[in-house]
Amino acid sequence: MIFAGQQQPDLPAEISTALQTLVQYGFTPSQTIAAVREIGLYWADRLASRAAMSPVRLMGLSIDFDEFCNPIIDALGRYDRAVATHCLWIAETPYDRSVGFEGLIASEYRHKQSLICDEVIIATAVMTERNQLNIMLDRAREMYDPSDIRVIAAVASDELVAQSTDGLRVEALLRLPKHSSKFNPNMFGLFRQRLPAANVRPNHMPKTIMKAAFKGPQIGM
Amino acid sequence: MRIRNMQFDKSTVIDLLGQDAYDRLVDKLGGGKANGDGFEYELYNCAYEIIEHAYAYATDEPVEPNVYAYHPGEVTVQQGAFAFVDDILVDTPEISVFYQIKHVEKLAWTPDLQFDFDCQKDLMDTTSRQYRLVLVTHLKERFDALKDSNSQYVPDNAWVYLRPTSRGALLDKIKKLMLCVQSERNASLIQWQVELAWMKGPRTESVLTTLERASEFTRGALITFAPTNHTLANVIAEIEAENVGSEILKLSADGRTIQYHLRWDDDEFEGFVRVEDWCAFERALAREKPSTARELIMMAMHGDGD
Repeated sequence: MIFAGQQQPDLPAEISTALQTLVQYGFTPSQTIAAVREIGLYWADRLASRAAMSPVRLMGLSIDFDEFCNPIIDALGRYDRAVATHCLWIAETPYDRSVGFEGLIASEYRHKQSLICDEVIIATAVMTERNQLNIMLDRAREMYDPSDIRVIAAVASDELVAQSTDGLRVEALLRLPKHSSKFNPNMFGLFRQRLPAANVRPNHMPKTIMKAAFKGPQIGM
Repeated sequence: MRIRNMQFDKSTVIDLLGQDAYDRLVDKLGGGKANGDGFEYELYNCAYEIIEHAYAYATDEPVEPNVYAYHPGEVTVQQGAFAFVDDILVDTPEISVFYQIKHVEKLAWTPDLQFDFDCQKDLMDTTSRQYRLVLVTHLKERFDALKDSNSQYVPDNAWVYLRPTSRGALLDKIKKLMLCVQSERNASLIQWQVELAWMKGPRTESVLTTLERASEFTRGALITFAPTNHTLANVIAEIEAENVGSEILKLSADGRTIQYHLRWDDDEFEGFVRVEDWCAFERALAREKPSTARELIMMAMHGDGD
């Protein structure tokens, strides 16, 4: 296996393999989404074992909300923490070449939106585009003005991890350097391409949200 | 006299204003000296016109108190007209507005400006068309000075508009036109997309055409004033908020796009869905009419559930 990027030390072997699945070429949509789920569960264990009891808000993207965010929400809930959630549907739009990725928030679902949380966790599997992070940070600050934002991802670029400041921590299990011939420079694009087609449809409704938002009779399903 | 789009033919201009004025008019066609900032500011002003007129129609608040609000299909914006006051020409069924856009620090009335405004006035006075000649600046201080100027070069008929370029001047209006989540960042991105849509167009088109192009760029997040299928309109009209008091409900359709903003308990769901498979959606509507907004959104997202 080709080595790409820098993994956190002491990761279990299966997580290390799952991370490579995300960044290397040649994996299928089902392998990709299984890897996302596995890493989501791993992050859930790590976060839940922290002793904090304060309420927390979790923001995620519709493309991997079920697989990556949901295990974390479940795990936090099991430890009796009040969890508010916020899911964003981001539509990629044409952009200026100098900007890289650009997108707008087409829709969003906010659960328990008036819960007061000092901490916002932004969780998504691949966080390599600066603008994608900025969209979520801007929205979190606009809506909730949190004192502490924690970004957790399976894969993040060195550039974004280096953005960490007092009120913002970017943590990833695998960090990618800015330039390397060993992985696709458009990591987020590659990831979106390799997700199952249903996940990246603009109208994709994560099951978790459907259960929360569309209680009662569901027609057309 | 033959007039097309408020453009005058050669003989009219020469008879009325002389050969020198006609030569100047032809010279203007090639464009004057423009810098990068001036070009950007002109684009900004085009986007400004597009957004103003779309907002006016959407909210039925005319752009000025003494005119009507027209459907964006009836308003034409032209960048670079065959006219003495030539930077932007906006035509509604009611009035033609000629703009001279100046992004310069020391803007003052000059003989050239006076000549252009007066020539255009003389031309327009030969028609029965309502018109307005406007000088646009981005500086408050210049705006005040130009408006109350005692200079000998003040034209007979000129208005001065102030349009600062500060981000945010247009955002409130854009928010009324966008179907996506009402965030600041979305609004400023959409403003940029409207400018992009204008730049990619032929520089002479109806406001509606530019809006439609911008809507494509934004993946449908911008209103296009498209007619809504009456079945869908009826369904929306019949839906009631489920638990009045604790729930807000905003539901509207623009063509095949449904915009929603729902709140219940402590949850909120806002945004838009563009129906991808219209046939399947109509089949589902015919099978069972949704009684709540959430059911309708679910159906729009999933078609008939295949």
